[in-house]
Amino acid sequence: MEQQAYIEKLKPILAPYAKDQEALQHLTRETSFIRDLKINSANLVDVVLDVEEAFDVEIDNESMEQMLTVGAAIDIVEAKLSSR
Amino acid sequence: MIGNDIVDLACAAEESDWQRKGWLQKLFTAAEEQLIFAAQQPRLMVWLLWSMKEAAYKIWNRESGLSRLMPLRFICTDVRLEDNAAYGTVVFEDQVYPTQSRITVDFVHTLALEQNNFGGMAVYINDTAETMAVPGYALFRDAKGLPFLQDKLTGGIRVVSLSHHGRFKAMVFPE
Repeated sequence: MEQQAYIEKLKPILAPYAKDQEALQHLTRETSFIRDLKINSANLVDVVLDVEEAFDVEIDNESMEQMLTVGAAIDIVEAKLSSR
Repeated sequence: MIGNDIVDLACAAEESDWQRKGWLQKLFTAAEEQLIFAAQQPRLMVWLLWSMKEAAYKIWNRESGLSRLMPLRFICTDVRLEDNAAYGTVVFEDQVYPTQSRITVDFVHTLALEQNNFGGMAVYINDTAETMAVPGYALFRDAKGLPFLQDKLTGGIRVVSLSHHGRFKAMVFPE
């Protein structure tokens, strides 16, 4: 899957939690969930659960630690998908 | 160093479904889950424990300069819940952070420290749209975005911890 395809698939997942809709429209690998999208920290776990469901992967706690940007989320999902 | 976290309980109820499948398991240890389900108000215990973890994490985050999503590694222990307050300890690796929380029908506010020195801390909480201010001090952020207070007369600088959620803003600094 291309990076842009991942980004397009992540956008609707992040939409309900993103308080900065402008930043959401300009999503890049560098976009930070907290600093840019202003997602409430308690909702980061919802993002992880939604990503697990959308891509049918299981994100272990060690991977979750890094899942604070769009790029990190893509890398984690890619790694999980390619390891099976 | 100090860390604080405020949870607007009405906002939390709206934004988060703590009973969502898998949600508690990503945030809380088995022992913490037991505390939640044994509590008279499980939902309140969820947000109390979460604010304890967040307040302690903010100390670690500020000192390390790193960001991580690792709530399970900030472990709440010795939690003592009273009517309008709670006391406890958050352990992360070899760090131990004592915490003190204020609880109202509207919010839970937790202050975490590296040493038990709660008496020396000034805590401001407000629910207005106004920017928080301390008379005689200017609030500024350094190049990393970390907040500090500067005495307008002497130029002296002190650390400040800020937090906001929903209707509430909180500010804590050493007096």
